[in-house]
Amino acid sequence: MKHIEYGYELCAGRPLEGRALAELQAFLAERGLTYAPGIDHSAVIRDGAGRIAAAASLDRNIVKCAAVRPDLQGTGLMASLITHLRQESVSRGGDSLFLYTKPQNKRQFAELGFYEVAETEQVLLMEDRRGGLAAWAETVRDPRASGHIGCLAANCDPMTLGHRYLIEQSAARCDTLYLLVVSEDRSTVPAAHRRRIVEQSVRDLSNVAVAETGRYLISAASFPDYFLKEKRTAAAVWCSLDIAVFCRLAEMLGISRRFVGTEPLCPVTAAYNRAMAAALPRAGVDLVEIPRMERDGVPISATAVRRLIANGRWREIRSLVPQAAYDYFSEEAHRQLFLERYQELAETSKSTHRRWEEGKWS
Amino acid sequence: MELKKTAVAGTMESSDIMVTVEPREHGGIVLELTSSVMKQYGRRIEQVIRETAAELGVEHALIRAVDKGALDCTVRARAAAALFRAAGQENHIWEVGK
Repeated sequence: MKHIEYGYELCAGRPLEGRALAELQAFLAERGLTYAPGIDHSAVIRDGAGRIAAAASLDRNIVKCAAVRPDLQGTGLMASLITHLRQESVSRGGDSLFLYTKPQNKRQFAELGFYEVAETEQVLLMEDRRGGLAAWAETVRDPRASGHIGCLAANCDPMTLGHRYLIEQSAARCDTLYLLVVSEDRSTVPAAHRRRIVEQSVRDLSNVAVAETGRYLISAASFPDYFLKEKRTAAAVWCSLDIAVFCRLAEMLGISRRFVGTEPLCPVTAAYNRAMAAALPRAGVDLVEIPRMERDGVPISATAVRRLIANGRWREIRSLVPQAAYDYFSEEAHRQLFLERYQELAETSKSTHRRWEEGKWS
Repeated sequence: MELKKTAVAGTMESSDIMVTVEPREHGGIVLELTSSVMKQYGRRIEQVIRETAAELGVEHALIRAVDKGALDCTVRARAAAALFRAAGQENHIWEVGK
């Protein structure tokens, strides 16, 4: 506990539990906010009477659920909270701090060193650095890009022949294709390895430029639901912020087509595709859906490939993945790494589900 | 002085400045300043931070600063502290500055 000015006390640490959590949830609800899933650190300021005066939390490197009691606004309490959360984030080794807030709070947080990344009607995503999104767009940009420019984003965990088919079909429908591999490292194959396999597998396609989604697209900051896939239903998928980020990228790079594979299996991806089909045309981008490649009447899926490797049947993936992916898994060390991460992700997903069941999340 | 990690010093309370230093390989000193007195003192604060980095022999870094009306001596002390921490020199012996 830390005493700050005017008799207020700042308490910070692990997520709250029990009565303290219920109190925080009620405090947030009065401000029209919902306690977010995934919060791993909370900072709460209480007044002399012990009532919550202000609160803000961290979900990895994202500030969420930040609010000050209306009668105490403009007294610097939020500055104290953000100071603390920034110190916490730096001590964890994080470089960037993101923030979710309501669009009307833009100015308040701009004064605390946050800059706008993207905005929807309900939420504003800010980052504590200027022009981060534009700097990322420059890492994606290929100076040779011309004509109709397309974009395809995929996790490729690991890359399959289904991905290869999708990339080929997309590349044939535009002059330059930006192929963005998901950077967020919450998959069984590490991000750098996924990217390398993709690069090796598309070398023969001369109009494909491989880059990464960075901190901004299909990331924990823009699209948290993507990484909670198994436990979400389509109705609850929230991806409008990610689409807003993409629209900004499209404008900067002159992208006029976004390619996706039809999604018969995963409800999260299917909902994401539907939302894009509705929103992208307004930003001058056409959504092009490409039918999934099938093998023996079933779509080739990375999920099925992961399951085979996890069950020790890695040789059977030969007919489902490009050569570079097969070579990758031919190495014992890579399979070992895969199995460790597969196990870890399964456990994370279980505990996530348990917290959900306990009603901690709404 | 070689920077090794991202480090922070100071607070966003009134009369203070919060300085975050991030190592860079090239590009010189890039400064992103937010200040409650930007119009009056923005250039002066920037000058003090750049001087501090130069005195400590730091050539490349992204320095982000959120100022709440800090005096020059505070700006200098916070910037130096963040730079020392970024260089991993936590046990610096402070001398009376100029």
